[in-house]
Amino acid sequence: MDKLIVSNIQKRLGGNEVLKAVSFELRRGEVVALLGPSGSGKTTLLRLIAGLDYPDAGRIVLGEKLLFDSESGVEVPAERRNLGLVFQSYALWPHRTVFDNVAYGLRLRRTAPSQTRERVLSVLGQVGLEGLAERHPHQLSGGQQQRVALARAIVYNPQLLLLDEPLSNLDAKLREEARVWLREMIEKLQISAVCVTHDQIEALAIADRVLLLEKGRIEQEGTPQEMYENPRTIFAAEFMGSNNRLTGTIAEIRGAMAKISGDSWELWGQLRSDRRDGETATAVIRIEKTRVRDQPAENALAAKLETTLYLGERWDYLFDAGGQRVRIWAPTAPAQRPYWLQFPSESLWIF
Amino acid sequence: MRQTCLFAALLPILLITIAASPDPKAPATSAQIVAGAEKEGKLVVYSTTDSASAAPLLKDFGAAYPKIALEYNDMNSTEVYNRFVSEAAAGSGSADLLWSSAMDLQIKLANDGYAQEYQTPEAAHVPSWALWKNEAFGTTFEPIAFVYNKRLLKAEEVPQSHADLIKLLKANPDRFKGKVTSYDPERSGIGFLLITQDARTDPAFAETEKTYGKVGVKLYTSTGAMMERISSGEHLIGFNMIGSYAIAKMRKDPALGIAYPKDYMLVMSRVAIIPKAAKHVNAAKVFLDYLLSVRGQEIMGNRAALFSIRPDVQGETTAASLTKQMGSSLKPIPVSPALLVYLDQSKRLEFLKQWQEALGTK
Amino acid sequence: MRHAPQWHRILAVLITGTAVMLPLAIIVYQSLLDAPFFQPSAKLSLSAFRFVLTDGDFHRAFATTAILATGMTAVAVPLGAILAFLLVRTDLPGRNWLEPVVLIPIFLSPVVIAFGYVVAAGPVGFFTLWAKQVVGAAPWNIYTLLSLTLIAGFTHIPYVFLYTSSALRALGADVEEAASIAGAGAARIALTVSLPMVRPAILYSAVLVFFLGFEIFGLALVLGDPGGLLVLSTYLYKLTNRLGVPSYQLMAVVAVIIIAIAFPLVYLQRRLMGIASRFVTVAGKGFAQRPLRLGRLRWIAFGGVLFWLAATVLLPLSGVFLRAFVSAWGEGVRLTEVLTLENFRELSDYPNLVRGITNTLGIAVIGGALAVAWYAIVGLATHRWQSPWAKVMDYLVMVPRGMPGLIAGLAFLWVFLFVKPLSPLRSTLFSVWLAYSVVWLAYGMRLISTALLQIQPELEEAAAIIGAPGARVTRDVTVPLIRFGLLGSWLLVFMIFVREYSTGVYLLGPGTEVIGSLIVSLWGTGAIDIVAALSVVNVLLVAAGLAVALRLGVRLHG
Repeated sequence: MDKLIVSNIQKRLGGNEVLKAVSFELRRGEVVALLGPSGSGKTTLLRLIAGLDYPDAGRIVLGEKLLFDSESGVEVPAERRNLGLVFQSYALWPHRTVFDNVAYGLRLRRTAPSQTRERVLSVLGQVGLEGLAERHPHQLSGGQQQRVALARAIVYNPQLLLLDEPLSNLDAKLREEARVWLREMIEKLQISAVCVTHDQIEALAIADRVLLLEKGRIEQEGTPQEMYENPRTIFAAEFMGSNNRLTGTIAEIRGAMAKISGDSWELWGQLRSDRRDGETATAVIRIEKTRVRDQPAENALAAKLETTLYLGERWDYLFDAGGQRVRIWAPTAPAQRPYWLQFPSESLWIF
Repeated sequence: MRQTCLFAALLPILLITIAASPDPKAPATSAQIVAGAEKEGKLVVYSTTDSASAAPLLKDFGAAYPKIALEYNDMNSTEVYNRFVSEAAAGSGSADLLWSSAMDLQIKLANDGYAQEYQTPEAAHVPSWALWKNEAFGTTFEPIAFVYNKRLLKAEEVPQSHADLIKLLKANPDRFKGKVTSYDPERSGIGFLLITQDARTDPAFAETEKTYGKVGVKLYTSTGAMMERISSGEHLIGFNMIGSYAIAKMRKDPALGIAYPKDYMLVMSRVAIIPKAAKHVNAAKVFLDYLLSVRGQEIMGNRAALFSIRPDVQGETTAASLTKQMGSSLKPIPVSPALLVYLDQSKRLEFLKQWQEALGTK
Repeated sequence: MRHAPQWHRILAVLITGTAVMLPLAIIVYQSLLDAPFFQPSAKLSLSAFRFVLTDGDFHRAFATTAILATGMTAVAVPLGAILAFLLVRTDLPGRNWLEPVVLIPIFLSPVVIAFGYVVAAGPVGFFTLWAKQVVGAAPWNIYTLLSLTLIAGFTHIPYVFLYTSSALRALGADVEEAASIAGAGAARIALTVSLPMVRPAILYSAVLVFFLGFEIFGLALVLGDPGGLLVLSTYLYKLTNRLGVPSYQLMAVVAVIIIAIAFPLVYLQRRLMGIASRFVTVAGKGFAQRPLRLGRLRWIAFGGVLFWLAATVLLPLSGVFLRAFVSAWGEGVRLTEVLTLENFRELSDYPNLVRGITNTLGIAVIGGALAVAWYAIVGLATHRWQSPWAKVMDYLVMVPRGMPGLIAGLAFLWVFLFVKPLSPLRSTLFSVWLAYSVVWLAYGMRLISTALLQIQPELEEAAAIIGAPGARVTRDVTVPLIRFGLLGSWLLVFMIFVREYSTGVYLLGPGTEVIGSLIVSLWGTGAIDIVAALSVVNVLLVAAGLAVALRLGVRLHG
């Protein structure tokens, strides 16, 4: 039973409340992404789980083992938690070869030399670094270094793998490949993992479940689809994707639906907050859900094309619709014609 | 302001009065030289006598000749020599008078032609062994004695002769192991001078050396350093200690005792020379005369604990009192070229080698 | 900019070069003569080399020095490295206040420390007597080579600490955290990750300590005396009188030998420095670092550090202070009966001692400022200067490092005697100041370059792009940015100049008295009362400098 239970974790750093009573659970074999902007406390949370730092209050349990409990004063230091951690910087030891880097944890666990060797070489094979065992870290590319870091973290079969921004040190192209590779590796190893990232795409791609953190609290938690398609707060909506936003006032509420209106426009959408009639509200819609029409349609606004950007795979159109800026993505070049922008009411969230 | 004016007006009269009065104790320097010295107004002395010991003397000199500003520099004996020779070679300003306990180096300077002649009017009152060619002048009469720790050495154990000391050491080799101290002839000029004089004077010197070696004699470069360690009990007794320093120190430190060896006691004399290149020649002559005058010698004998050399000066630390006490066992080291023997490199090194072998340090 | 004439820069190199090379040249020249070089009879000859190289004392001194240097390196390097790890990376109790405290031995004059050991732990020192009462016999003898090595090793720990700790600070915490995650405890992390990763810095300090061992003077002068232990520098000191007359040629030979040993080591150090800087680039991202937990080792380690401080600072200083306030000490003396302030009163009786104290203050405060100004000018002159001259400068700066203070002082005495335009300055503090500044050139330059390196090149480049000529960039950007660094350097140089003792020994004369060389000279004449009082004054001056430095938040490591 390698279930991680984090409950009511609080942490202050230099007078700042970095984490305010954070709780979550991680089931066996599950990958959880801790997602959030910088300063949200995600890295701190990871370090607390790792034992590199200790919470001010709360409780952390891994499987049968109590790792931290502020009430009973239990503080298991990092070296006795049996976790694996892939550092953002990789933190490879430059004075040791790849082999020695990876073998370190096994040697600490007094594994027999022959077994160590076998195990290290097999893990290196798994991560695709055959034949590089005798190199020093500075002789490897960034991607290879990342694999060494992963190999070092998993070689001793830790109960839980922690990943701190594992892809952020790679350039954009490599990052996409590494994302796929990492997901594959995690699935293959059937390991429980916590991955810290500030990139929502990375979180969606790698994780089974996403924890969105903001200002030391969990804003929302759920599967990648839930998080993307059903954000419960404006922050979650904004953070998880690229959106169009329109600001107006609530004109009418009908059940779960509400009408938001501006100077010369009005739209129906899903009411996602406890806003009441006459209150200012923001309507948010994913860019890809915004449609372009050449004639008036339901829940649509007439718009004036301001400018377009050519991005290779697609075009970005920028409109002015009733004084609001609206973006859409289109596969083709713009034409000289009138435009209406349709905001399907099931996709328009009003906060 | 008015007082200063008055004093300034009176000063010449005062001075004339001093110069004119036939004070028998005052230096008999000719008026002409004194006038010249006052015109020079300055005097630079390099000396091995530390300022503390010399202080009463310097103060009194200042009172006698207020117009001569005395710049007194004390340093160790080698330094006096090295500094002077280097400065002489560089032709830069140096001392007007060298006053050093390294008798051999002073004679060497005179012998090498660095010193100028001066017929001091006080010469007649100084023993002839202390003068050489009117160039080098012995000024003091300092006993070379044993110094011991009164707390740790019983009165009846205190050696009264060199032979006694050897007997004492032989009788208690364990107790005195590492507890005997003396000058290191390799590092100290005066130490070398004294031990070579011992070698000449002590009939049983070979045996003496060996005994020192057996007890592991500890060697230092100064009487002061040795006395500190005798006083603390780190060492019990030291030989070839300069008596004048010991007596000065004993006045403050009740732990120290001094013993004069009765078989023979070396007597050392601080030698003064006036370099040829002296810038303030007259002032140097005035100072030399002062050192040898009754006035200066009385201060040495009664206040400075430097042991005056003039037989006609009475007091606590004087040649007269020592002679009365010790008689013919006194062995003054003559101020003469005989001192140059061991400045010959090979002879010196040979002596040192033999000394080290006897001590068993080589 | 590169093609514009760089006369001011070249001038700075030439002046510094002269100040550095002239004394060296005189020493080498003197070593090849058969008499003092100013004697008309002096001829070119290898006789001095022959004399020294066949002298049994030299062989013994050389062997002793080699053992001492090796031994103290073996003591200081592991302990210093561990100390650095404890203070920089762990939750050692009191690490914040310990940090400046452990550097104190650097700023204490070795003569003072050695003298303190004699009074505190010598054969009749008060701790020894006390131990004798308890154990029955003196449990130690501080006059042996072993004790000398241990004391030298202990007092040199801060040098190792200095270099190792700054390397450790530059090291990212992540590499240690990685080891911690893998299951390693603090001790293991130190031995398998942290210290191996700063190996170049440790090696560098090992080389430094080793050649400081070859230059050791003060400790050996005081502690080697009674046991008849000679090291190279005290052997050199002994040669002053060996032949009865100045044997400068012999002293020069010993100096040349010491320099010949030191230079390759200095060169090796430079190489290591280069390797070290390459190593640092791997340092990862520093997160708000949490000190490694020592667990049970915590109090043991703390006790170890305190023991070392007690043995290296407290013990000798208590000896010095005690001796300063008594008229006698040792076996059978009741301290309550001999307490006195006489020793301090006596100081004022000696004009040269009073001058020594004011001179020391002057040379440390004003001289220190001038020295820092000189170092800063040289540093700025070669700052970001792509030229062979800058390389030359790099090496010039290292030259005095290989020249022990005693020898440099002697060489400067000759320079001031025989370089006619300088000779009027010989009896002034200028001679001492110049010697001090040259001897500490490498140290000072390191302080300056550390400050300069902290300026990002972009800041200066930005000014240049806007149109500021080189001198304006220096005046408007560089100097203001290193202002605090210069202030810190001044305080450090102040303490170093107060402490310095060997360089002034041969320059000591009327007008050039400083506390350090007075102590050496008075130690020789045995005026121990005064030595003790002067030592206390010396320690208090250093303490004042230290207090100001800490108050201002100056980092004590360059």
